[in-house]
Amino acid sequence: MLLPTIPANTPSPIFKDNLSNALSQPSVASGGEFVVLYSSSQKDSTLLFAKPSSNVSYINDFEPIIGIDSYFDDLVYKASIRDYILPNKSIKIVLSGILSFLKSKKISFKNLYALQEGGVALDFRVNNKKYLVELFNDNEDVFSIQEINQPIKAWDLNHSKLLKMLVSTISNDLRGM
Amino acid sequence: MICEECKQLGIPEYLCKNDKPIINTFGQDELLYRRHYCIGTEVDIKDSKDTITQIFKIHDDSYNKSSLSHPLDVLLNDNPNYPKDVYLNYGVIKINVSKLLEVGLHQINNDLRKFTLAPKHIPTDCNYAHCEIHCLVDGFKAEKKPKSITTVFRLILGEMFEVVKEAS
Repeated sequence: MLLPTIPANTPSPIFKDNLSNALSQPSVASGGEFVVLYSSSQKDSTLLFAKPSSNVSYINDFEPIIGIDSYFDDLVYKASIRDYILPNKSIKIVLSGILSFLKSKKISFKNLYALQEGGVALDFRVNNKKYLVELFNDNEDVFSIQEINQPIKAWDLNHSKLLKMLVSTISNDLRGM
Repeated sequence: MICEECKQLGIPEYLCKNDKPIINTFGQDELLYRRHYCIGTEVDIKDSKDTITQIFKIHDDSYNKSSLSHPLDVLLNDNPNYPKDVYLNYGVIKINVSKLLEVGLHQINNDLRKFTLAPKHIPTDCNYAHCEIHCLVDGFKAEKKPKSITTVFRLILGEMFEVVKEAS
């Protein structure tokens, strides 16, 4: 998995004091892995994937999304009026990570909507590829890519694997432009 | 001959099943009609994955066979528990069966799988034209999991349909 390196000025998360000060949002357990927002300062934040025992991966460009609460509240409201299962809190954090990554790459999403089974989905386009991300409350997410005259590609992933794959795929696609 | 239930529901005689046979042959020109409640033009609907998700539930979705019905017959209510005009403002889409039968290979979790959409004539008592589209992967009926299968079928169907009537 090719991810950008952590900035030199980011305090090490291995020191307990740093970590407790830095974690500005609740962490999400996801297949034995945690996804947390790690803020080294108000300006720069890092989305951090950490297994309790070992691997830690980072997305440096993470920038908190202003208005994520209202985005999410709107999705919850729309889900409730459609009588859908409401998206849960872990979805909000993963969604926040995805939106901030897309923002850092200057990619706008096209549709952001609630899913009947409990979850949210968003789609966006990079060059001629259409991407669809479906995040479900049960942590069984789907990431798919549609390209003209090519087979559709879809993967079943948990929250953290989806985040990593999305970051890696989009970063590679942008590098290939 | 029309049954008492069809008579009460205002269902025309040609849609009353009675003893009519199942016709599982679908001609190349055959269309399948489906109702939906999503507002917008064909462009709006095709452009919105939210709408596509609402229209195509994927597992055993209901359609009407064009050789046995008229397009707007999908707006008739054949459930006595609902008001007669419950679907009156719904929209209607059509899918050409010849497009359905084209087999496609798509990649699920890095493996190429064969996706097939198979129309089946499954008449109900008050809707002789009733059909379902069965989604097959490698020749077997698709289950709800893995979810990526549902996503791929939805993406396929989302590009196949045309609007017959917009919802209002």
